[in-house]
Amino acid sequence: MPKIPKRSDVAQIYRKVLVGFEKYLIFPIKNPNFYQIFSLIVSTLFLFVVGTELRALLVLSVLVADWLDGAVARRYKLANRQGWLIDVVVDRVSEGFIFAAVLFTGVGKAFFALYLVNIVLSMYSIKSQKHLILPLRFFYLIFLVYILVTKYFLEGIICLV
Amino acid sequence: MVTLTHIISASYIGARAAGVSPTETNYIILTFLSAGILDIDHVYYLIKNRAFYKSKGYKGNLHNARSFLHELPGFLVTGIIMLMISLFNYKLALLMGIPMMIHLAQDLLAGVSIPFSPVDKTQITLIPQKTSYRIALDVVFLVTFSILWIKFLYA
Repeated sequence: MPKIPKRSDVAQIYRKVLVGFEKYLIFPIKNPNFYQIFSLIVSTLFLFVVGTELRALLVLSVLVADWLDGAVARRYKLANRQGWLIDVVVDRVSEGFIFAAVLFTGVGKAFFALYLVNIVLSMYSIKSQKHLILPLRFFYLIFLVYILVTKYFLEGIICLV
Repeated sequence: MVTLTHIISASYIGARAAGVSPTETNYIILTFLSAGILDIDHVYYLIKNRAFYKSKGYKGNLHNARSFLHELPGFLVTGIIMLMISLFNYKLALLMGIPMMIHLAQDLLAGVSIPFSPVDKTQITLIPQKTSYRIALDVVFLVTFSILWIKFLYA
């Protein structure tokens, strides 16, 4: 009987921290699929958003929704293989919309290419029962935050000069 | 979802994401085609398994009338096409790719999917598979996006 594969050792570290936070959360909606659908809708909105700040905010919302669906499943003992499959497929769809929206940039093309690799990795993960999926949206959020920090830092220097 | 709903809704999202203007008729027709073309695989399976559908009916069985292109590997194929086209025409890449991706996402949202087919045959659903829910979702999408299309074309 196929099970939910374990995450890598690196992922286990931050997941322990997140699970610690989960104890203090109150969930208004107790269906994990609600957070998946929310994540899909927000990812689609990404196609129409302009501006690094708003993009970073949307990616952050998608990541929070992705975390919440797992948190709800763990809290209410709903975690199962089907839920994990939904999580993996919704994550790939969400990545598709996010990186398609920035396909016009070089970095966007690179992320989109990685997204295609991630689909293949997802299929491999399902087959091999090993979790080998790249957290691309998290990497992209780091990239957006880096852009924002650089932008505001430079603006600050210009103002000082 | 029915093909008409896909064509109306997915094409609108694709056209707006690519920044098409109402006068660019060729591009608009292309989005309609991209939004609906994936449903061609249903025809093949419906003809191939016509005896099964005659006896069991279409209701609740149409997820079996899909090729792997209607599941996660479909995103891979669409993505490769998009990435290749985007190297010389970003707008065209979005016009062809986004409606297809929306179509696949809508099918994932509304119906029964076997997303990792052919690797894993587990069926998943995101919403309860009540006929009334599915019809309501179809109607909401169809009406909302028809209004948006009319507003866009007559703006």
